Amino acid sequence: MKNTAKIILTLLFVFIVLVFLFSGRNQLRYTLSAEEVLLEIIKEDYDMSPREANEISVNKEKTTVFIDLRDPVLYDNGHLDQAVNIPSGKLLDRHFMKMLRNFHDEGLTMVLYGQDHREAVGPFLFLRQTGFNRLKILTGGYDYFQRVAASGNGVEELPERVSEEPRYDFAALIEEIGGAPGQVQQAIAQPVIPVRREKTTTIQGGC
Amino acid sequence: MMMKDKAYWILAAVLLMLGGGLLVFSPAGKPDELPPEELFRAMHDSSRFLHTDEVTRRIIEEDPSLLLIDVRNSESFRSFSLPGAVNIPVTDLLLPEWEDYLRAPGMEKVLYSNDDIMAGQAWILCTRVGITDLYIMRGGLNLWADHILVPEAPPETASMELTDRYRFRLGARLYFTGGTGAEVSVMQAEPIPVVRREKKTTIQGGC
Repeated sequence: MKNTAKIILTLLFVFIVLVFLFSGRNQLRYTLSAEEVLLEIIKEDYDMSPREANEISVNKEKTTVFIDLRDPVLYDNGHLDQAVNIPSGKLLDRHFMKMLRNFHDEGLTMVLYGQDHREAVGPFLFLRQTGFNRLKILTGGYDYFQRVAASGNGVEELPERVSEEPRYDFAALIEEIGGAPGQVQQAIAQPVIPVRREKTTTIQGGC
Repeated sequence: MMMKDKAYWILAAVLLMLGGGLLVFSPAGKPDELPPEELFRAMHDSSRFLHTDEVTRRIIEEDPSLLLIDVRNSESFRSFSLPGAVNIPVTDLLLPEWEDYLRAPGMEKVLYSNDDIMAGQAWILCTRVGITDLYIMRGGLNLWADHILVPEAPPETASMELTDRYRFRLGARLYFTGGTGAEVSVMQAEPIPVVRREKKTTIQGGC
């Protein structure tokens, strides 16, 4: 009787230890503190240019894997060679998480890309703080990669919304507009009239 | 008796090990931090983005629940910022002195930068540390300037909604550029849509 109790107790502990160990392994947790995440944001050294990506792709380098974060439909329509499709909304699916962990364990650099640049920024920062440290973002996303490839990997102007550069001198622009009130008033009166005319014509056509 | 003592010691040792393991493997986060899964879910909720028009409308209406947070550096902030905005450079987001602003109850905090990449990153960081009612102005100041300072006239075939939006933007432009004739100009334009609505009804009846 005493022995049976002992065995049950031992098995119980072994079970608890095993559950603890396995749940710890699969549980998603932050591996960077908030302060470290902030440093990651400031560092801004995670971009990979389309040309660099193309070289890796052509040389079939085994140290890098491209992660296509777009919808499977878009992925099927065209993607980087050797890219794996992990839609950004499904990153946490068990299957995809396992895939990402495998890439990580194999020491591969994961290059994330979406249709445009910004699509990869969120997933990057999320993965970065949950245990993945060899991550890059393909500058400009798939659209820009295509454009650079179409130009024979030449120099292409960066698309909008890749960086935080202001596109205007806001203060000067405001001063410019504010300094010419007459023009502004004109602008207000102008657009309304042609729109009105057009609408009338369309309705008449319909009747 | 000896056996029983030994069993207790083993039990105590196992418990200590488990406790120690909990400490070692516990998430690096603080108690009020959002778990990674919830952060991920929040990141995929598109309602975290506010349209530039919506932000503009609330600025003009002096919405008391709106708290604009400019996450650009102080130099950019001094040069130009949206009315009423507080400058919390992204580098300072975690400083305790800004806690009162970021955690202000009942306030809807809207982060903005030149684009929305940096504001988006700031959003992820702040949401992770447990800040709620947090939004991003989509497209940042660049898109805001596109829409409000240099609004594009809708095509002549544009819907009523687009025309109204354009008129709103022109009015807002006068508000932000300091033109005193803003109200007069907007009122001058006012009767036009009324006439247009009447016309539409008449034609519909005829058909």
